[in-house]
Amino acid sequence: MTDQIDKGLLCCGVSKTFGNHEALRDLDLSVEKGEIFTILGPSGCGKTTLLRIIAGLELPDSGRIFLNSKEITRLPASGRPVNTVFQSYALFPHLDVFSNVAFGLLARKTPKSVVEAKVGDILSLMRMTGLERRLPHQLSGGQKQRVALARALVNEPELLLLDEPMSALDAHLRTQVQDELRALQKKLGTTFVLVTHDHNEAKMLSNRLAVMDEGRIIQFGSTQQVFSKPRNKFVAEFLGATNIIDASLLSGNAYETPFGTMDISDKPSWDKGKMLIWPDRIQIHEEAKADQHNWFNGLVLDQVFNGQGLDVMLTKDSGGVSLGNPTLSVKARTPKSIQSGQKVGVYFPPEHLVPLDRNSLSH
Amino acid sequence: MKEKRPMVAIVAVASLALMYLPSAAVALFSVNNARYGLAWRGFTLQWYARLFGNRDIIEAAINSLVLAVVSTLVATILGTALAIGLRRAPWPAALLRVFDLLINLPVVVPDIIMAVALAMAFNVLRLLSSVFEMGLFTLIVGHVTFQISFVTLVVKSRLEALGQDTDEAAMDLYASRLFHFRHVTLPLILPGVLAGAMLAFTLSLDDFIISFFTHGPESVTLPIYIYASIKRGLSPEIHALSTLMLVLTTIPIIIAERLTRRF
Repeated sequence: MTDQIDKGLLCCGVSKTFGNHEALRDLDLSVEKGEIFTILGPSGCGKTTLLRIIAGLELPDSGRIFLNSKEITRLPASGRPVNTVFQSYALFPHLDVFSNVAFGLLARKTPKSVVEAKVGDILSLMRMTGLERRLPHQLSGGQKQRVALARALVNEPELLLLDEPMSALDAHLRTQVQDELRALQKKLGTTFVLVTHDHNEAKMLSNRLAVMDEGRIIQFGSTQQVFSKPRNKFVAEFLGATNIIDASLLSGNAYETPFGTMDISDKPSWDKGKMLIWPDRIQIHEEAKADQHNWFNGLVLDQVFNGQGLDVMLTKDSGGVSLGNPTLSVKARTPKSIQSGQKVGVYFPPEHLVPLDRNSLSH
Repeated sequence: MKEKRPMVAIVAVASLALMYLPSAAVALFSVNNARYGLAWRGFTLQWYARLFGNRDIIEAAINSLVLAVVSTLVATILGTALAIGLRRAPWPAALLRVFDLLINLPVVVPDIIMAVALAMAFNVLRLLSSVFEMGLFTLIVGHVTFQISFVTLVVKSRLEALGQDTDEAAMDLYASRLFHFRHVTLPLILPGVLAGAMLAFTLSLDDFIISFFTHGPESVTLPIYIYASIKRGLSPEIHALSTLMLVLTTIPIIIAERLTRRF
């Protein structure tokens, strides 16, 4: 691990217990300098505790934390070049926008002229010029978030932490803020670490991510890598996967599934387990190729236009009684119309079947 | 939709009447132009004017005000420090529950028990130092002991309502302890501190039992003066004095109520 100390952020063997609840279990994490990194996990997985330990608001029971090659494990929050955008924003209700943003600079006895220049710059970057004298309760949710961001970034931290940055925003603001956040990070080059339980947020914002559960990191990698090949059922479901299929080995690369015999390119280590296929990887054709692996006859149960294509719900057509059969969701990009009740040919490309690990907790 | 329920309305009005009629009667007799009797003989402010000519009353009023101001100042500082200390220091949860109980207890313990305890304590302490001879000092100490609880309770609830978010934000934003207190904690709890102070001030001003047991011959307060005068019979001057005190103690309560409603 010591050869990695020059990473942006490095957590080594961090553990934390509250009473008899193990919030973090011997957790390792490394974040590159200047990237947006997401820690994704359900509530109670320990992600917020990890964030608080990095911020210095909580001390780990064991483990060490390095930021740009310097150990910060025991530094108090006020002594770390790390700033946080809190989930609730935690703006000072009695201070106006200017004073909120200036707080960190004034706390470090920055000369007044410098404070005014820096606060002015960051507020104009955040398109908040003109609102300096507003109190937090006079701001909209989006404006509050921008003040919280400005208040943190004006200090030019080496690391910015964001706790569920989108959770308090209306749906229509989220996409806009996500774009702004990405642009801002690119411009400033600051390392961003954000925690969230929303896989869409993780997908849209981060270069790389770690999926956490029960105080550990279950999977770690580039956003694309983790989303295309979740390692187990927990990660797959957490990333929004619905098409998880039982499979058992027949011979070679061929597996028996409720949808017929499927060949899989990425051969699993097990004989009986689960595999995943993403809705946009399933192909819908006019007719199935008879008696070929990876093909089966499907029956369309429902379909909804989603703006770009069709969200299709289908099941295996077993001639009449299809009621108890497992269902699949498919994102069809075909402009051709598909009707409910229509019979179609369905194809699972072998390279897009993802085997899932059986054990839920493994590194 | 509110139902028409005459009985409920009557009981409500009757209860309010029960609460305020005695005070209203005192206020009425304080402006009645008759020394004796219950008959209305016209409006006058002469009883109020006479109050200010009575040296004993003026002295008692000064004693009461000095006592209330000083004890409130001391109790507000100590009570606020106690409330902050209880929240900030990492006390074990079990100990914190004990502390909570200890803060609430003085509010419900009968005054007479506090008063007797204080009298006994001062009787022992004055053997060690003449400072503890019954007088203004023992009155102030006595009042502070019961005021602290009230201040702490008000400030504590204010702190709890604020939550930890802003504290953590201040720490995250490089604030030293002093900067944090001066620019975040104090301004945010100030309405609570002032409300607690107003409450403590009122409690001191109209306290009788504890004052009675801890005062000396040179430190008669207004309630004690009123009590002593009543033994000689009711007089319109006492009505006037009581009415003044009523007004004086109501104002801080109204201010306190306004303050706690802010934010």
